[in-house]
Amino acid sequence: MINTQDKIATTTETQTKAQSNARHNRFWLQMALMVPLSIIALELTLGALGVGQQEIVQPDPVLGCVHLKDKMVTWRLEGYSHEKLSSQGLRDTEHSLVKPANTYRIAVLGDSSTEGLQVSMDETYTKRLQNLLNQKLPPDLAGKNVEVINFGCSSYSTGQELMLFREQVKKFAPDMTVVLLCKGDILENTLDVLHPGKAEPRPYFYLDQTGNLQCDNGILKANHDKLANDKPVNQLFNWLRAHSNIYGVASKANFSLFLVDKTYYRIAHFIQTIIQKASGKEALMQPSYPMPDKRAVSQALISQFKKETSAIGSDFILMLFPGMGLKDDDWAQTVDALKTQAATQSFGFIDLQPVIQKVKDPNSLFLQFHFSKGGHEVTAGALADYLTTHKLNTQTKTAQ
Amino acid sequence: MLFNSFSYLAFLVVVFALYWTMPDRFRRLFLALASYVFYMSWKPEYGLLILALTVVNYFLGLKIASAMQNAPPVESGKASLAKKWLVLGLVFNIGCLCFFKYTNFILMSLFTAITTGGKLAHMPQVETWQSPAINILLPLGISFFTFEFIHYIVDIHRGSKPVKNFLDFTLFASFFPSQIAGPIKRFQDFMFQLQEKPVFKQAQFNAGLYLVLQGFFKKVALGDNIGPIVAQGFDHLSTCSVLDTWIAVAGFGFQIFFDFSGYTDIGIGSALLLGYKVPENFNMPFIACCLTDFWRRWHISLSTWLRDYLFFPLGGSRNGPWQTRRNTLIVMALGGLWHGAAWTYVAWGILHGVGLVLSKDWQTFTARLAETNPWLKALRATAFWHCGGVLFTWLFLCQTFIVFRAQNFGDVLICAGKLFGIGVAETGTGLVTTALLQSTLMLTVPAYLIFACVRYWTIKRAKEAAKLKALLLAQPGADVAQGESAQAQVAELKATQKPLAVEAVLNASQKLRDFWSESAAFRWCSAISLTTLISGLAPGQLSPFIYFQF
Repeated sequence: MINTQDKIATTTETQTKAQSNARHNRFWLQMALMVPLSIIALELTLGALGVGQQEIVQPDPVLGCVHLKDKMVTWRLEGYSHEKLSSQGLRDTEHSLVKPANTYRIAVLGDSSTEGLQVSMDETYTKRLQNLLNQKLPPDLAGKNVEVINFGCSSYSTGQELMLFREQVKKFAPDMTVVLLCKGDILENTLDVLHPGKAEPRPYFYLDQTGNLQCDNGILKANHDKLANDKPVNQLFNWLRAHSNIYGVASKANFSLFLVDKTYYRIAHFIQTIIQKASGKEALMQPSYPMPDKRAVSQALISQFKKETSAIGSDFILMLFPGMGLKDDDWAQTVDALKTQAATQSFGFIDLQPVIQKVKDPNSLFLQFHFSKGGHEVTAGALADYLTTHKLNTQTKTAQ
Repeated sequence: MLFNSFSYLAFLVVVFALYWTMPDRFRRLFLALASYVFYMSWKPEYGLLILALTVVNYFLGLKIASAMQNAPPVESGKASLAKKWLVLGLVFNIGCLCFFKYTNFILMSLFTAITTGGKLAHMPQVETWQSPAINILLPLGISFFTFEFIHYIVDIHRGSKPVKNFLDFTLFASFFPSQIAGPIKRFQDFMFQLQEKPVFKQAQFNAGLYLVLQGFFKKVALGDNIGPIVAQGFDHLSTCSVLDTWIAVAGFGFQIFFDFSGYTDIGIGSALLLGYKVPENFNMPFIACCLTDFWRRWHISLSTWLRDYLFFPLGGSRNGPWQTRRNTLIVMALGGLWHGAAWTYVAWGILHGVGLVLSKDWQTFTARLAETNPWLKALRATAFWHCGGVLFTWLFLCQTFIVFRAQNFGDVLICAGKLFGIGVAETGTGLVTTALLQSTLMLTVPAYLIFACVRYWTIKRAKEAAKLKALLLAQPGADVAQGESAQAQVAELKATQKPLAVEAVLNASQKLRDFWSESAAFRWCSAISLTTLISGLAPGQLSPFIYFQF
């Protein structure tokens, strides 16, 4: 015989359990519907606002990083621009690989200062230079069309630019190659051998005992798992970088919080350490060479640039980004050394520092760290003046 | 640990989880400790300061109460002991506030006055005098918690019972959701909640989560993005065009609103997540139809404090219109000075005082005129009159925001002139306009304002409907809607019905609100989506709250 009270209690318990199960099922069903809906809604909202579109590069096993292709970029970190990177991954309009007939082609390499995401594409010094030259052609280019291609990419060192020249720029057969060198490039060309763990993944350079320029790919090799383009996980992340605004937001938030929020930094650092230990990877190999002479390495890279541009019959100009009013004796010596090198090795040399000092309000030429519209305008003017007043090699080149 | 930082978010999650999982008897102690951790995260010295102020005010409260109990106020001679303790308490609290906040202001004002006088009297030696400014630490939130202490001891003197439990008083004084920039709490409300022992309620959690998210959105997505645009205008006043100046000035109004009300929302929301209610501070201030209405909607906890502890003790409006005007001016001037140790804040307060007096006189004047003029009476009842009032109030506020934001009176004059095209350079750069057009604000601000208005009307309509339902149920035979009164109420309901499209929007909004309450999945998805959106909209650098400087 069953006790009535027990029966009621059992029934109530069963009902409560059933209700709880139903509630759980409803929750998960709603989640299954709402999560994709939320993702779509969020992607569309972020897209409409132009938010989460500041991802511009993807990892690369040779260069460290390269521009994404066909990527819509809305830049608000400093200044503003809202444009697409080209299908060749250039911060420029489309350019055919084959040089059109009767065209004088100028390739410009550099870092974020050349890339110029802080202003619209038409306001960058490369586009302005093209317009200026086509409006008033230098005597040597009479009857020709001038095409300027911007190969600038954020964070690039001179060494990366040299490798980009070999990988991509040469194929465009430029008649002239311009490199804009910034003070930071001198530091980025060489590895801080005492702290290799803190180094960004990129190729580094040093001079061997015989004084020859050598490339150190140690950091790239150590990070091969993260950089390899053939790994499905990396391919997925690269796809997200190129297409997802949510990924862009997460990446930006991660970067900002890592820099500004102590709690976030500690948590992230702790997790990184655990992952590193769990993966059982050996610590980074200590480089086998002593601390390189930064200036000597950079000069060697410039020499190599001159050599390789000459090999394809391209003129070479080295342009120096202006120091922003800060007195730096080391940089002043570097400028002198590069000037002497340009004279010795017969390549073009433009120091923008004296140029900007002639402007009434030099500060107006910069936003925070990069050129403002005015800065690009002055740079384009300086380059155009140089090209107008110097003899140019106009023999037709062929693509390599 | 700023409210708009990851650190605070992590802190809140940890405090929330531990608070609700630990036994009830430990919760107050835990919350007080958490509040001290929060406050000391800026500077450890702050902990000692607030502890010292708490201890002194705790004993002052007990002393005043004891003196009141032993000597009833009717016996004037004996009651003076309680009053002496009160005066001592006021001197102590105001003295602390003045020392930390106004010492340099007083010294520099005297120095400027003397050196200016010396220069006018052709005394060259004044040029060589050194600035007397001294290095004093301004503790965060001191203006807010000293006002809470003053309210406490004054109310004890007015007959409220003191807080006997030191831990309870410590928690009241240091409660982290309202510690740095209010809302200024009333201890009676807080102690009542402590005695009730908060329990976890899903509805309260939902409301708290909503407010925290709304606060983050207002502060990070809106206020922090308006800030650089406003700064662009005020830092380059000489090159601003008329449109630039209007955008900078109106933008500052929105910036300070989104910044401060965002902070308040996060504070109130955090308190709700822990089961506590702290007072409201804002109620759509920019739809105020006159300045009096504005101060009922803006920084409500401060305006009610100033009313209760300054305006009323000065005599309030009991002694005729002229004394009322005088009291209003004094209260607003001191209210301005409370905001910051600078003459521009005093000028801002006086401007608001004059505005309040004129606004009230205008209301009285037109109301009196309308008694005999039916045309004016009809006009006063129209939406046109109301909207005119809103616009006029907004324009007045814009003028006063210049004083609040400008670094000095020279900038105030330049900026005010530029609003009306005086002194505009021929080649206005349009920097501010360009910055606004390039920002996300062109979409986010209108979207938020529409959302806020729809929400405001949805809640208002739900409250009216609930009130009407209660009235109808209270009528005999109301269930069949036969009573005369019930029919009148139904007619009133119909009269307040809005056009179909508006009704449809309000209905959809109500359904969304209901769904937010019912569906945990919807809450989580929208909370995570909104947090992602806010992170995306956040400018690169973390900005502190404007009211932290006060």
